[in-house]
Amino acid sequence: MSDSNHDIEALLQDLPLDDVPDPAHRAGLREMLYRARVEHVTRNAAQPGLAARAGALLRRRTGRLATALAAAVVAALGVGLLTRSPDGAGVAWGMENAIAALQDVRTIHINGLTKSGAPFDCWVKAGDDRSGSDSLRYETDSEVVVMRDNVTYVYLPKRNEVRMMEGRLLQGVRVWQLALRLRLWVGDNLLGELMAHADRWEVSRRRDEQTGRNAVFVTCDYPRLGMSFWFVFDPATQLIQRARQWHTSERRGRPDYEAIRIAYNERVPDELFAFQIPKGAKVIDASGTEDRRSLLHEAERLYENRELPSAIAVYRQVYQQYPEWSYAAHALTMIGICHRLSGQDDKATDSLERTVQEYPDLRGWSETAWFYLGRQYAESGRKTNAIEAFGKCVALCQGVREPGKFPWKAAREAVEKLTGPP
Amino acid sequence: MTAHEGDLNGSIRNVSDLGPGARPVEGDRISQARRDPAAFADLCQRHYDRVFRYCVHRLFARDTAEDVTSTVFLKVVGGFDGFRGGEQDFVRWLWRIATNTVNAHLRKTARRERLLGTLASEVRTENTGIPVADEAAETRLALKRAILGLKPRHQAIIALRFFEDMSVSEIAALTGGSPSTVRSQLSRALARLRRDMARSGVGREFG
Repeated sequence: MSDSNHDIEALLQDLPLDDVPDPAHRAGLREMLYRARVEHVTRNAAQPGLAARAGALLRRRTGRLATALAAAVVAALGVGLLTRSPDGAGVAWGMENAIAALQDVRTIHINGLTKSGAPFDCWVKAGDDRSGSDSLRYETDSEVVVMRDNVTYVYLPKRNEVRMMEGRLLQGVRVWQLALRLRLWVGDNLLGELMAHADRWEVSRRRDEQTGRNAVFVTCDYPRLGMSFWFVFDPATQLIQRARQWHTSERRGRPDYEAIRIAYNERVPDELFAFQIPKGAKVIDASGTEDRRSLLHEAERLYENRELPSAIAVYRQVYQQYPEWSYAAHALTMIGICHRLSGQDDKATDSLERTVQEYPDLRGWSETAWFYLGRQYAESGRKTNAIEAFGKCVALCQGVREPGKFPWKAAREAVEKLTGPP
Repeated sequence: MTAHEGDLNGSIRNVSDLGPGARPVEGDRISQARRDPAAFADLCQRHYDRVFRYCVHRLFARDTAEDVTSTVFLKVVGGFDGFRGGEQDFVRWLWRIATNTVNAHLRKTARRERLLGTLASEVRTENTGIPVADEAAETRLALKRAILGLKPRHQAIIALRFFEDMSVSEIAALTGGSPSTVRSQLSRALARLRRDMARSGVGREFG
């Protein structure tokens, strides 16, 4: 073969592919196949039955999520049942049982502590149709969050300020973290996702010192997100008894949230989820999520088509109209990249400097800006500044990015190159 | 090949290789699977990872690969009663089903377009939604686009050869051609990739 074919072969062999199977999908499919086979054998598959329905279900995104979730939940919560069987044979568990157990939970009340040691309360009440219309209230001395009827209110008493957001799928990193910390306690869907995406998922069964009874301990770690969790499950009820959540990987330091008591199916009055805007409070409508995403997508499309002046103009609109949105940092970075690709190096450097000035350490976002700024400095001979910028990138990547991927790898190599022998 | 990945030749090396939820099966797994739906599900689970990876390698999209993997195994449910042979034959049969299912999926132009669209956004997000405006990422995108632009049969040969590390003879056995035919198709596919990469104008010189 020719040299250029060898080049292609090398590229093919080095092509990174995200091909790690999702255990939840695997387990969900196995269950479906089992049931489909049972039906096939018993009915001889004379007509479309469960196999066809299972196929349709698994081909639908929601169906896949449901089966993946069910499998993950069974795996996580069914540990107690699995371990009941002394010899491992004739395991007495079924997906339906675990799903049924979850479906019996109508309310959750959690008492816990934040990282600063401040107490919090969180109540969740399942909607009548289990379709995600749960109501939720989270309360500390400094913050009250109420989610109900597709609207989320965040009240900050010290500022006497209410932030109102339409929708339950909250966008943006800061709000996402808020949603995540709330949804964790709501339960099942996040638990399934936690198991599916964990870098490490460890289960052990031992005596719980606090209660004196046997319990199932689960720890899981998400280095890319810089998060980790610890759960204690009650084997009898299969439900979470206590939990901790860290905004660091490997459960370093004090947990950011600790649930020290979780009560299921207590009576929770509806009034708890009623929210009235306090007198004199400043109300900020933080909706408009779709508008800003559309604007961002337009900017991305222009960038993709290399219509760089137009892309810059639209990215600028994103930044100017939504400065508190985490994508504002991204928009500023992209303005710098567009200038760079247009050969406007000074403007590129200015934009990237502004990005890191305004968003110096926005995890998951700022490190890219630091990387490109380092590259600008390096190419213009500002070696010391370049090393500093690449160093910042490397430092910010810890616990957020993967060491072998962009920008961590590229920044590390750049530092080595700049600080190594000439 | 990793310990849990399963073996193309179907030989079991360790009970723990069976993966979560699976049980060890004594004797002939195919015969067991015919009699016992749980053994059948275990047999499929044993080969899930390899099939899923192959689907990702063909489609470059996890969600779609999961859909197609599900379809592959549901076809196995439907056809298992008519299957004759041992586990090695089962593995070859499974690969053929997987290849045909992916090919059928790709033959729908709209689906291929959607995959190309997914790729365009994917290259610009390495995990975080932040575009990656570097040359290597652009090159990878161009290569994936070029692969998806190949005829399904040629694409299958590329995937089997470079992502599944199969020899030309193994590919020939799976695809039902002779080794010399596979070799010539591989050569044509590589030439086409080289040409498309040169046209895309990214990365190294391929012309």
